[in-house]
Order: sequence, then structure tokens, then C-alpha cells
Amino acid sequence: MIPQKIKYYKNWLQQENYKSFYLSLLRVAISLWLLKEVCFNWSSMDILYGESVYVMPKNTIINRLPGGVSFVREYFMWFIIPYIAIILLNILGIGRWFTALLLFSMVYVLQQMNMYFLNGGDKLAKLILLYLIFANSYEYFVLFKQKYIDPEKKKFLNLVSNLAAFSIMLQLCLSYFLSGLGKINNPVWWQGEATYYALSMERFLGTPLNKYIVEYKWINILSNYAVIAFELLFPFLVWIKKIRKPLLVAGLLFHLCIYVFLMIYGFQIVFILTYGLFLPNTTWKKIFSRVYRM
Amino acid sequence: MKHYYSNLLSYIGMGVFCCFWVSIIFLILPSNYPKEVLATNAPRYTNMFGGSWKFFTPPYTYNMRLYVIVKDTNAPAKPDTLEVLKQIALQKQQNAPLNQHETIVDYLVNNNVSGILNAIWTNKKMPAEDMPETLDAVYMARAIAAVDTNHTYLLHLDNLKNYCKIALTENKIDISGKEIKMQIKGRKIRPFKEIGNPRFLQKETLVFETTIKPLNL
Repeated sequence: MIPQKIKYYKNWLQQENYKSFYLSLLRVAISLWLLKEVCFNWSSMDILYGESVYVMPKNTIINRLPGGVSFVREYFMWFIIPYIAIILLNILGIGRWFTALLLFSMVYVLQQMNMYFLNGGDKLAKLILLYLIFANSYEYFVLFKQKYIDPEKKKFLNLVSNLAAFSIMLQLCLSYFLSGLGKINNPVWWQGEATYYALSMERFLGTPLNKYIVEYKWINILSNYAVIAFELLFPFLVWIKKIRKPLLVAGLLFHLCIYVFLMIYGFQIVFILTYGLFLPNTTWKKIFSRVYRM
Repeated sequence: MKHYYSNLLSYIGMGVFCCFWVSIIFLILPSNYPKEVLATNAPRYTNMFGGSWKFFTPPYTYNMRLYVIVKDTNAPAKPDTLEVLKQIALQKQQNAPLNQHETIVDYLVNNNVSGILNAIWTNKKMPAEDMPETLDAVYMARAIAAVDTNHTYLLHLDNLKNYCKIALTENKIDISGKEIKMQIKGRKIRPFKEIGNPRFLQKETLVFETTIKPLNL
């Protein structure tokens, strides 16, 4: 019985690259996000990676490079320029899996160079890039299309690609669930007071409206429990077709609120980008054909 | 590629996928044997996949303040005081949404402030508002002395000193031949129960301070 089931799943996974369209879109989108981060951080590059940095390095892999940290910091631009080139190659799908591997390695090194500036979005972006190394995200949005692939090779690629896409989806569910689990174990969240404190933090005072919103107890309590419920239920309910779309819309609103009211920007974009994997290829193709016609 | 190899590789792929996700499950569960083995033998793997996802947990109930007090040895009664964290927060608010530079500075400085506080106060009770000041001072001095040789603590302290030098220069405070002292205070956010109470007074509690020293020490 079990071998038959395994065989069934193997055949199903080999049959088709079920997320081919969105994986391609995700490759382009996450690369564009990385490029945006480089552009927005450009004036602060020296603080993040250069010699003028006032933070002492933590014990990371960079410290073990020849010449040590000071060498890497002195010549960090020699790293940033190829990094931009690799992002561009990844957008165009040139070099395919090799470029994806190189991009992941470069992001990993950059994140190690300044670990004080990392948040959950950076962490998720790094994991997405890792899973994308195994995904066949080169069926759309590439400069050069691959003309012929051996059918047996294609089957194997489909299987690996589907597992990679599934891993990204699982990673998103896991991050929500763990975050929700942490919240229900915290007395402040449990008592319904946490969003009040989050919205009152000077560091995260995204709009002047925050001060007025926190004056309404019912908004604080409602939003607090809504966040917990969303984070705990999303990982289970998102797999149910009927509930999926409203849940994704709720997630979109949730991240949009954090974006606006708490001024946490890049983080939200990365999370929202993964949502597309929960929609089938056909839906994405329909959306794009409509957009194209417009 | 032959059918046989394609099948074999597919089964291997599925096996690797299952093993990978089982290992992740062990990593996120509370302490267990496979987790300990992975943490010892593959710390980088553990860091990459087993890290916690705790967004605003626990939420901050304080707005932190970092004061830099600059004293002239010739006129010690008139020190210059500069507050750093609120300034950064205000700049971040003013420039939103195009506040990437301010966000970077905010993360760098605040992560070091949290690092210092974590090093000192993890497993210890922070000074409370209602504690008598003299008791606070002794209690805090002991707690700081306990981590005085801790590498992580010293790293965070150096980072803050470096930033303070930059902040003092930016604010045109002359530091040549002067001594400085850093103080971290927690300004309690009005408690949830006090919503609507306009008379609630936000007090600042001292949670860390350095001794007064020349800036280069």
C-alpha cells in the first residue's frame, strides 16, 4: 500500500511543473526586490559594509576570509558590483541554476557582513533563494528559452521543482505558525494588549494616526486576536481551496497594515511575494493574459 | 537520461525532501536529541533553518533612551547631554516611507542597546520604577560587573561608543579632552489599562550606565 502511494506521488510530481508560471515570476520579483534593496541602501552602503561602519564584526564566516574583515570592508564595492550583475542575470534567466546558486551565496555573504541589520524578511528572502536553486523557474520570463529537454530529464526537473515550490509554501506556513505559537505563549499577547504596545513604539510609529488608533481599546483587542488567529490558522486553512482566496486577501491586508502603520517595509513585500504560489498556474496565466490585453 | 536513472533520482529527491523537513520539525520542537546532535555537528544548518520566528514577541513595553553625557573636566557642573534613540526614531518618522538610511541606523543602534540589556538582564529582574534609587544603583552596578568581561557585551558596548562619537560630532558637541558617560533608560509606554488616562506620567528608569571616562577609552 505505502510503496504504491509513494509511486503515485512520484508520478504526480513528475507529470507537470505545477507552479512553473509563478516560480518564474517569483524569480524575477525577488531579484527585483534585491535590486531595490541595493538601490535604496546605496547611500548607506558604507555604513552597512564599508570601512566607516561603527559596528564591530560578529564571529562569522567573513572573519575567516584572507585578510579578515578589514580587507572585505575596504573592497566591498568589488563585491557589490558583481552582485548587481548576478541579480540582473537572474532576472533574465541567464545562467539559470548556476546563477541562482551564485545569487544565494552572495546574499548569504552580504547578510553575514552585517548581521545587526537583518529581519524576518531578509531571512525568508534567503530561504526563498535557496529553494529557487532547485526550482525550474525558467519556463517564462527568460531571455533565451531552452528548446529541447530530454523527457526523462524533464520528469525529474518537474519533481524537484514541485518540491522546491512546496518547500517555499511550507516555509511561509512554518514562519506564521511559529510566530503565532510564540504569541499565545506570551502573556501580553494573550491578554490582547500587544498590538497596542507595537503601535505605541516610537521606532515603529508609521503614521500620526497610530496615536489615535491606540486610544480605542476595542481596536487594539480585535487586532491583537486577529493577528494570533491569522498566524495560527493560515498554515492549515490555506490548503483548503474554498477558503484560500479570502485568506490570502486577509494576509495581504495584514502585511499592508504592518507596512503602513509600523514602517516595516521590505519584510512585508517578501512575505506577500510567496502568496502567489498558492494559486494555480492557470489563474496566473489568466491574470497575465488580461493584463497583456489591457 | 534513462528511465531507470530518472526514477532513481526522483526517489532520492523525495527522500531528501522528507529528511530535510523532518530535520526542520526537530529543529523547531523544544529540546530533543536530534536537535542537540544537529546543533553540535551542523551549527550553520541549525542557524539557517532552526531560527525562531518571533515577530513582536514579546512586544516592547518601553521606549528606550540612550543618553550621552559629556563632561568637561574643567567645568564638571555643566555637562552636555545628548539623547540618541528618540532622535533616530523622529528622523525615521519624518522621512517615511523613504527612510532606508534612518532605518539602517535605527536597527544598528537599537540592536546594540538590546544586546547590552540582554547581556545584563537576561535571567535577572530589571530595575523597577518603585525601587529606591540607592538600591537600584547598587543592584545595577553588580549586574553590570557580572558581565564586564563578557565578549558579546563588550562588542555591543564598543558599537554604541562608536556610534555616540558620530552622534556627538553630528550635533557639533566638542569632545576633545572631555569625558563621557552613557546611560540607557527605559521610558515606560502608558500601560494598556491606563488608556484614556491623560494624567498618566511616563517615567524613565535607568537600566544601564557606564562610568565616566575619556571617549577614547
